Amino acid sequence: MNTFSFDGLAIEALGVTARSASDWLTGPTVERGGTPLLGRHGIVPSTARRGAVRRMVLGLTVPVPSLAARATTLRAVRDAIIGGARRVRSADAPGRFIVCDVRGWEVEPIAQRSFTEQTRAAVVNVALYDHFGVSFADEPRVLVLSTTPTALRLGTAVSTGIVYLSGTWAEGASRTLTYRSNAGITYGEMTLTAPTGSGGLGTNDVLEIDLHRQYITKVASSGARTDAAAWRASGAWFGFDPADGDALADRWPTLALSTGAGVVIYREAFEE
Amino acid sequence: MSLAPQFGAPMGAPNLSVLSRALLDFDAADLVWSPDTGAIVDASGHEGTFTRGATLASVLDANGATYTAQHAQIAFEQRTMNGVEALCVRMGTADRFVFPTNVRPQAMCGLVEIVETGARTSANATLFALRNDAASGAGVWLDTSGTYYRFNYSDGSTTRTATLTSGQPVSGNAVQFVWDITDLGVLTLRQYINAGAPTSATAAALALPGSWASGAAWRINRRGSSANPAQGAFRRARVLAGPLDFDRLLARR
Repeated sequence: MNTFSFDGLAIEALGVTARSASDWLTGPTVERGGTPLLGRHGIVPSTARRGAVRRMVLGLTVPVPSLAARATTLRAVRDAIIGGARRVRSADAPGRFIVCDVRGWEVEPIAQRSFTEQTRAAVVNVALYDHFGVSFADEPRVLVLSTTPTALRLGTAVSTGIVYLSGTWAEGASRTLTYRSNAGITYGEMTLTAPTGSGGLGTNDVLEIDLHRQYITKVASSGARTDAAAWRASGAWFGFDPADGDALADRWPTLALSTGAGVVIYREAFEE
Repeated sequence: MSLAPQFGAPMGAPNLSVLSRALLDFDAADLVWSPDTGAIVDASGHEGTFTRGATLASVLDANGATYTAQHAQIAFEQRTMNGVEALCVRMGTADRFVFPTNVRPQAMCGLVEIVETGARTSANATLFALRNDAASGAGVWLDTSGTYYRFNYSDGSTTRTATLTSGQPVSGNAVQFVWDITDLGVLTLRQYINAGAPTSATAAALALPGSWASGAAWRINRRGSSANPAQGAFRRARVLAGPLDFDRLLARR
């Protein structure tokens, strides 16, 4: 049985072993819309995905030194595992985690098992509710952007990220972020224009584009933040889709910036 | 700024708050900008501030390319630590994070994980601290003698220092500092270079004070509001309540 950890704490460190994990490898139920293209092959998949909350049940064996110590031992394990938004890792997916609401705590009654065995080991079932439906890489990645398209190594699910643009930017001037497939086809393009009266971007200011929360924020060199949603002149919000690359061939979609300096930070996501 | 897992697959899922139970959980991969307060929020929920006030050049990306971080831009840097790709916050001598806290003196243990960039040879350069703006009064801090790193604890009048006597990280080394202070006020520092065997130092017991200095805050890369800046590529700084627990300290959240 795989080892599991909750917020980085392996269950073995609690003296606990996993005995079952239902639906662990089933993967989430994901719905993703698409739009057929008349007169062409295929569809245009939607960036947005919808997934039902995924429920898994983890069976644990909790050694109990004596019947008298049963409640105390179980309480210690429960305290280490139960909670909202715990990061759960499994040995079969190294370098990744899922975020689970760990709410269920069901101890099998003694009557179901022999008294002797029950005093040695309690059997506990824990329910994990995965709201995101994807697993995430432990480490986000940061990449410099330029006019040369930068490859975005992805997992198997759509990722977004945060783009930081810098360099002197006059009012009325525009910069374009272009997201392309590995084949060089433009699938996302966002043009940002510094509005009149915004002051543009000073030498040491930064424009922060949060592709997930869909915020654009001007961060002045003083640290002062102002909403810059009005800077988005054209183009829709986009995400980074592994379907736009060829994962097995290690070929990825790209992101490019028309002018100025830029950095993107993102985290790979996986549909399993 | 929103750092993962708040960013990732764009789904309609609730934006769950991922909070650590640690007394401090500063993790480069889990810093979140809060849109309601404008504060930087660490993984344990502390609302803090980041300041540099200058540019920081030659910050590394995942491909080894470099960029210049602007004045108020956190310099996320990709490093390899012990063979693993790791996201760090690169900090120069002008960078600092401050996370106000009301934590009480207690037995606690901590981890500071960095890639060395040259702080060790700058005497008194402070990587991590729980001290007030004036860097005075009761508190703890991790700094360097100029030769070796050391961990310090003050009850407000007396200071105990555990100074390593071997192990000198050089630029590019992955360094883990593990420290603990017991109920009796015994201080121990361990240093791991590139995941090698630890070197350690201990200081004599000094009873814990009733409180830390007024205004004491968790500080990264600084001892007080301006005193003794250091530098480095910081991956994590964690503090847990209770006696030393390697499993919990070293585990990824």
